[in-house]
Amino acid sequence: MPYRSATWILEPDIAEMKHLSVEEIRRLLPEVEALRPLLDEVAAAARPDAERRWAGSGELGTVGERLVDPEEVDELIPGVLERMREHLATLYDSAARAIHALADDDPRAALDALLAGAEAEWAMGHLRQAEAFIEAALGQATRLPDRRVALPALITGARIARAAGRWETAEARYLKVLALARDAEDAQHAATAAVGAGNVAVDRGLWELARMRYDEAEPWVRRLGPEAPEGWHLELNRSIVAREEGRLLEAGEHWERAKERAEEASTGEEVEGEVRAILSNARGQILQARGLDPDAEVAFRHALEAARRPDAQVTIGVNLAEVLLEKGRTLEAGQMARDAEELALTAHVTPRLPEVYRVLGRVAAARGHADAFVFFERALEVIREQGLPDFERARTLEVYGRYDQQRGEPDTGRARLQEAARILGRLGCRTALDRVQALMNE
Amino acid sequence: MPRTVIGLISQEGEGEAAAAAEEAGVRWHAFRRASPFLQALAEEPEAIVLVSLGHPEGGPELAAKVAERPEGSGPLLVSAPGASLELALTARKLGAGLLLREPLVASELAREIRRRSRIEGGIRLPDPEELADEPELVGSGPAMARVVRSIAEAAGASSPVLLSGESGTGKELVARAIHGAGDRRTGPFVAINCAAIPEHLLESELFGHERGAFTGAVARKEGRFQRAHGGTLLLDEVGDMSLILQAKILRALEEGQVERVGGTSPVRVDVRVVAATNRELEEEVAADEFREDLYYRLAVNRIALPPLRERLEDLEELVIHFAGYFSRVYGRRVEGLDREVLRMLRAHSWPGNVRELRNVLDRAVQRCQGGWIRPQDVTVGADAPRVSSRERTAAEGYPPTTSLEEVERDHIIRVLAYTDGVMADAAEILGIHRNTLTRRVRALGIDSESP
Repeated sequence: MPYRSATWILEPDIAEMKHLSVEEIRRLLPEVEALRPLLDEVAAAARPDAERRWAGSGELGTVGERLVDPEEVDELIPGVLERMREHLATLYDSAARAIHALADDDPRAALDALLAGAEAEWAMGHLRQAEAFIEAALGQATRLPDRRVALPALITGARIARAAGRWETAEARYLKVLALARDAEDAQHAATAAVGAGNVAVDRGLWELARMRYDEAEPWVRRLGPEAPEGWHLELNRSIVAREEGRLLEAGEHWERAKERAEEASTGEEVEGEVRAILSNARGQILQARGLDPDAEVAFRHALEAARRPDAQVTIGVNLAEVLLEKGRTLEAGQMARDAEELALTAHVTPRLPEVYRVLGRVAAARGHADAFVFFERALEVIREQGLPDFERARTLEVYGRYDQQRGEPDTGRARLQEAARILGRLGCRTALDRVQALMNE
Repeated sequence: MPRTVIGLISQEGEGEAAAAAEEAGVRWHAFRRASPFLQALAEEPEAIVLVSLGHPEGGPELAAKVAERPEGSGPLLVSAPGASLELALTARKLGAGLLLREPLVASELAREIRRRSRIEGGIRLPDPEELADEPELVGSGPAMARVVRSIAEAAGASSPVLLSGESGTGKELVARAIHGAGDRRTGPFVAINCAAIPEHLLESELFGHERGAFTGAVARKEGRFQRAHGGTLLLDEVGDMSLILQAKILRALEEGQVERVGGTSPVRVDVRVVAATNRELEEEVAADEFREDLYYRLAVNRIALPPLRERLEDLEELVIHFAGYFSRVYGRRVEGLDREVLRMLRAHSWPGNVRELRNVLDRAVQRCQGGWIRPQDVTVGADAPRVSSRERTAAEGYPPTTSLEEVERDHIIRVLAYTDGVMADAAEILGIHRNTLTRRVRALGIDSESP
């Protein structure tokens, strides 16, 4: 911190230094990768504008309108630098280990080192960089006679590709793992890969394919024994498929089995924590699909109580906001979504912000705000800035397009829906595409 | 015990008044002379009072005398032969609410008696079918009466209107009322919040855009000016607009035409602009943050809206209105509320004005049990700006730059120090399983011997 004399500090222009909005800061700075961690930290440190709390614009505020004290930016820098230093140290260490492994002609060690780099980048949310490390790691795998050595890298690569919304790559990697594991009678990797491939099919709305993958996973999961978490994951995922296909009783039965298997497989503490959060959230979604909104609300509240991970808390908060919105409790829905926004920002789970802004936009529209579209615009901006998957963009355009149609702008609405349909078609998301096309024909 | 209505009315109105009282389930005492009427009032101060403004011994003076009775006295209803804006304003000034027209109609009077009726220990809501739809300007006190008068004046003109007042005072409702009472009422009412929309989108929202004018301009779009053609455009929070856009608004007002972003030909628009602000625009003008020429263009008619704390005489009416409104929205039967609730609400400073009160009643209606709002159902001040999690941490002794991991590490060390390093006890305090604590201690690099 620069030295200042007391007299200088007391000068009014310094003492009353203007707070800046995140938006103003973003418009000021160039969009370069090196500034991204600092900007994320600035957004996390920003506060809602108290003066606008009761203004008409207060309910429409997003991260862009949150305020930052310029002095605080100086204070944030050491922390950001330290985190970046640690991160770079991990990456450089992984690179150094890979170089030594190459010199030692040890492709397996090089693969492990590069995989560690991929995991470090993934943990930072740098999906493109993580993918580059995975590609490099898999390149080393081709030098190995035993392809099974590549299984952990392929599985991590599939997960990263799935997180980035690159579903074809994710599916291809899972299937490769499945083939290798099947030949080697490797139940663990086969179960993980079959369930993972099923999950990718769920992401794409390919329910029949998802069921097929989960059926394929079943015997491998059984071989892992009752304590393997894959057992309850599988049942829970089946309940999701059944729910999406409208077979709600069956969804409930799968959910019950998932609960039983989770209780068998988890410690008491886990059952009370994250496991309960996941199960209660899924239960809430089934109840919501059955139209039992009050019960769904209770389930989501239980899930929120149990959830420990911020990303889970944000998603459950959004689900709860959706139920409250369905019930016309727009004030509570808005507050719940606001809490989720606050958490997404302060806990650095910004990839969840678009889903938060989509529900906030719908809440604002339900509350009669003519300018509710600002939330959809902000969601699109976050998706672009954070390099989030195209699927997120399609989902936002779908909600935005429907909103435009409802507010009397059919041409704009149709154009947005067309763009959403184009993306969904390219990604092969059949169910979502059908839904968007039905909206276009309305 | 049923409430009493004491009335000073002419003989012709007595029959209808008695029928209304019977319909509303109250007792009825009619007087034709002022003196016994006032004596009856003194004996039964909580009675509902009906005064005919056209009565030879009644009139506005006597009604004013009744209106000045101490707080806690029964409500005043007034009636008059014929209706005029002046009489309606007199009724509002007296806190009498709706002016009842003579000859009295039993059903109308009964409805008004029920609406204003108080029951022992609480305030009863009107019947669901009598509840007004939102939006509606509510309040019959003198401050609102002034606003209503200004609305009537502004509605008759065609020049711009500038509404000022704190956030949450109902500026959009007033803008709608001006639109609804003026010649343009059959045209559209379009609102835009200039503070809510990011600068780079605001211009296209106001003036429209051509397809492809910028990234995201997926189709040709009409701006709000064009959509408000033939009607009224509310520019809410106009003080937050940039100087560049202020210049464009001024041009639109002066020339009656706008140009779409990316467009080449201007479009004629016939729009009455109502601007609203929660800022002191004169100060913004003095500080060169708001264009003086635009200010004078907008401030031809000015209406200042009072904050709720300065019109607490309307609080009860507002509470009844919102409680009734939300009971219908949520399909919850709410018959009334405790008088203590009103006392609590009167004690609050209402920084968010009517918008804040609306939120309080929204929650209260959802929480209340047995169809009655009680003090425990009401949380006042819950909508105060929340501190961010960083500020909360700072308040608890961590600097705002502390990461969650550092806080976790620090807290685990403190708890281990407190338990003399006994992991089982520490885990119990932390509310986590012992194995989880062991894992966290290892992951966070805590030397469990160190405390």
